[in-house]
Amino acid sequence: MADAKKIGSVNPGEIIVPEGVTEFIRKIVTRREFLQYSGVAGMGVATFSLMGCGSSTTSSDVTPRQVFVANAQGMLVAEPSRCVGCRRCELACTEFNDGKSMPSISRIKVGRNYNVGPSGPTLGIARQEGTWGNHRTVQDVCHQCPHPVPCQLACPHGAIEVVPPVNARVVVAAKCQGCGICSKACPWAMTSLDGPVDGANSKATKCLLCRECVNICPVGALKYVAWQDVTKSFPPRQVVPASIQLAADVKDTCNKCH
Amino acid sequence: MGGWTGTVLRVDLTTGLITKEPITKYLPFLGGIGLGYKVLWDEVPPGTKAWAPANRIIFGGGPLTGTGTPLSARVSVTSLWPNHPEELPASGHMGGHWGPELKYAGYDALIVQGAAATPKWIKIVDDVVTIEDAGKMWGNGIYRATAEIMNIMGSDAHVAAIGQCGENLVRISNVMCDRSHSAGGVGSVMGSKKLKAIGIIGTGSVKIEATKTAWKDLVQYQNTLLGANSGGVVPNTLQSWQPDGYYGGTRWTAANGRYWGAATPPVHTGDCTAADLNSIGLRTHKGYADFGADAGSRHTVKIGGCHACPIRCHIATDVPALEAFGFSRYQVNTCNGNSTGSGFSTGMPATSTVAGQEARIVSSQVGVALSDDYGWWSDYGMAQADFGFLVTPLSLARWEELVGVGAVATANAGKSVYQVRLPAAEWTRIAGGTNPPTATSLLGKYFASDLNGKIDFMMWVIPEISKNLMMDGTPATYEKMVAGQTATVGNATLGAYIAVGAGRLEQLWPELKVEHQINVSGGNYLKQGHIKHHYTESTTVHQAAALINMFWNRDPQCHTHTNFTGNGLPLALKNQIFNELFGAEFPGSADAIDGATPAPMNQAKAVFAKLSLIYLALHNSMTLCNYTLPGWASPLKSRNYRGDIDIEAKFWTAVTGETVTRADMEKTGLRILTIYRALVALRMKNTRAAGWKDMRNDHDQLPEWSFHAHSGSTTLDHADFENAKDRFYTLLGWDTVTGLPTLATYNTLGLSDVATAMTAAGLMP
Repeated sequence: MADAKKIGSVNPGEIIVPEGVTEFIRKIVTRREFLQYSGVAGMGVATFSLMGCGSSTTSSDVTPRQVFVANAQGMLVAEPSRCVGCRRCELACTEFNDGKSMPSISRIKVGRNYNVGPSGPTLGIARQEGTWGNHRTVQDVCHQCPHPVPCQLACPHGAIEVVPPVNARVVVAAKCQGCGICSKACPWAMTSLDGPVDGANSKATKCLLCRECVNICPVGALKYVAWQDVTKSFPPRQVVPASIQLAADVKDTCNKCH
Repeated sequence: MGGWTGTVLRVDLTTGLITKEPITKYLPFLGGIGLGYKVLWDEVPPGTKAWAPANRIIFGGGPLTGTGTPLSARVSVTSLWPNHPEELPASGHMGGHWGPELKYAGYDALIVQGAAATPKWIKIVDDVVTIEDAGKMWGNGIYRATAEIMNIMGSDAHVAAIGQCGENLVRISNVMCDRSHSAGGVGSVMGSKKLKAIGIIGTGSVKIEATKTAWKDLVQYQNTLLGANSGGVVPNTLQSWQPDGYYGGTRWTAANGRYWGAATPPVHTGDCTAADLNSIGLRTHKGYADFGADAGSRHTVKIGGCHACPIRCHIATDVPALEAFGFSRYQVNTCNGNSTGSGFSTGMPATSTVAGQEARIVSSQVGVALSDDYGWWSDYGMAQADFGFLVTPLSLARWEELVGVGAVATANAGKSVYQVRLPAAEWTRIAGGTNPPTATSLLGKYFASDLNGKIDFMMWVIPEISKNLMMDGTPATYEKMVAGQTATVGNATLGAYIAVGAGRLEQLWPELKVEHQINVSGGNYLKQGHIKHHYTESTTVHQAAALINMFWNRDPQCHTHTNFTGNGLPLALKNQIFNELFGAEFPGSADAIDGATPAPMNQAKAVFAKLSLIYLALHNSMTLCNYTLPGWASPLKSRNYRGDIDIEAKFWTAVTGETVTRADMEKTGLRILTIYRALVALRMKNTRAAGWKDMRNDHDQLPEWSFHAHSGSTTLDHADFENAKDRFYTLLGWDTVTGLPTLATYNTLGLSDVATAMTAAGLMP
């Protein structure tokens, strides 16, 4: 892992060269070497490789898969009172990562709150947030959830992995089947699906902590900081149906640790 | 090819037919106004009226719209212009996010034609387009239409809607999107088609041909070159980071100790350096600039604006006092949009005082709350300027100036034009029947010195304009006004006489026509129903500004010229940059930009005018924001304050994959201006005697006051201005006698089909 050491640092407070990390993460998510980068001592990444024991009560013939439990080491923080609603974060996210302008799949989400805020349109214009209300523009960012990571555990294909050096939770495109279950599993609806559900070329995507949004924001309303668990500070945006919360190949593995 | 989606959406409200067409034939015209004028050329014959079903209203983005190119959010809205006395073609433009959303839904433009029998709105969700019933929405304002559509489509829908002004065929009305973004002048075209609103959700993408890294580099490169709103490249106050100590005259009004005071909690703007790209959006503290040091800072929540723009220029305010009047304390708009209502107030306390600033912002934001709901567009302030003249009692001398010495002037002395011209019952209704108006009457409140009275008047007059009624309660029309007025007294309500617009009102009331030409009251009427906009008020480019103002069929909404002359750099440096960039086009000429002393017309000034209009046409077609560009200068000392003249071409090339040079782009701009010119001439010819072809004098007029000493205006000279026209037409490749494009020019621009039609119509020089 010499490359990883040169590019970045696992020290949460240390600034990491963005371009290096971005390319490193992109390499991870587009190629299948991700398994090599997990479980390496000294990287601060811990995984449990559960290869299935005979006494497991896993339903059917599902092979238990790896669950990545290491916490993220960085996260985005958004300040709504600074956000001016230009949505350049969404544009940088998709243009600099996907090579096209497509805010609907942006991994930072501002457009959906732009008009009336996160509470939706029923409170009556002027009694809510957003452009039609009190001008407060809430930017939704991925909280890089601690274990149990809802999107990761719901993915039926194990396509969401934790990627060193900052342990961003990212969709590995090569494994993603475009089912869209992760979009329903995230309480904050932070993953995006590029293409129709189950479409032949559809791929999910989510924040990989590339920080193009932080760099492009014209008012400094976004920051990249050391990670901590803020999931209880942000009320969920959607109800997650119990039916999709755990993929079949993980649901019976919890008792391996707990 | 990147940029364009390749599809133009067409909705026929008469037949209900919805079709999708390829963009192919519009590509030489880019999009925006270019595409709009091409549609009008192809499909709307001379003689068509603005409110006829056969008229089109064309909402056009361009290849850059929605690409995330900085400053690329606007959509142009092109149609026959209801406020023009001959309903000649013109365009409104609106920013926000609606235009990009149309691109993400898969469309470069939307053409609406026909007319529905009952109110409708158009729903666009990507490739699914339907015409929906708007029966219950009709009669409500823009706010309700938007709220109801968001309830149907979801809160991420972007909605363009008209208010009651557009519905009731007020000639000066708008369509608005995203709360504060107004395409002026076209509201009643939608109203005539019974089209209330267009709601869009677009989840698709816009293609960018450049590689990811090349695109990112280009975007970041342009970010380094940007200044503040209105082209300012130096701060408005002396700040230590500015290496040469240049400052002043710009909207770069962020500074230490200045806050967005109503943000929760307040946000400090600070001394935003040119190098800090994460504070570009803080540079323009427009609240401070427009509403004063105290009120502007205290009531600003943030500076918002358009999709993909890092600069920001819409002032989002929190003014708690509004709640006492029944309005939301939160409003947003900018520039003239902040005075569409408050322009109807007079005698406010001086804004050098805190109390004065507070009164002004309260009045302004009440005006916004009304205007932006009723969809009232002030014709860039012309309506209030005329109102101010018409409501003021005039002396005998003034009356004699307006109607000549005699019995009429004697009878009218001491009265206002409104008192003379409005029906007696209307004067009773609004003034209590007396002169001066009674204290409790509406006009009494208008003249009162207290803010509450003025707001009472605003709260009455804007809805009243939207009703647009004759005295008999029927919908007002210009034809009824003409038919029913006597030699001295009219037959419509005050609201209707405002709604009919300046160009028609001056036909009804000749004293107004005289005033428009002599401009004693300072209303600054230009011609054909519209006001001036960035005209001769400054000496710096007064002739170029005059050419720019004569050119269109509405106020020009051109800022190419003022964004460069107002960039804050020293005069010598501005001329040096201009000469470097464009000097090959005017060898041996004196400088383009004057100082305090206005200089005669010269070739550099003509080139300046030509470029201003070519880049305006390009920006309104690509689309890019003409309130910030051109990029001829930058804040960077390391570049000697030069910008990048090729920035539009670079973005076009990167997005579309088609390599273009600046010369290619300017040729495209000229093509757009030329098809526009042909379009206008063909329509003017339709109502004139055989053999007419005099665009030079008939269309390209200026009011007489421009040629006489006038406060706040640089006096033009007739001979000098004719010289300006000669040079200007020549630069465009147009004939100097008629002001019409020549055959050679049409052919060079690929407009031979237009040339054929113009020849057949007797409009070839």
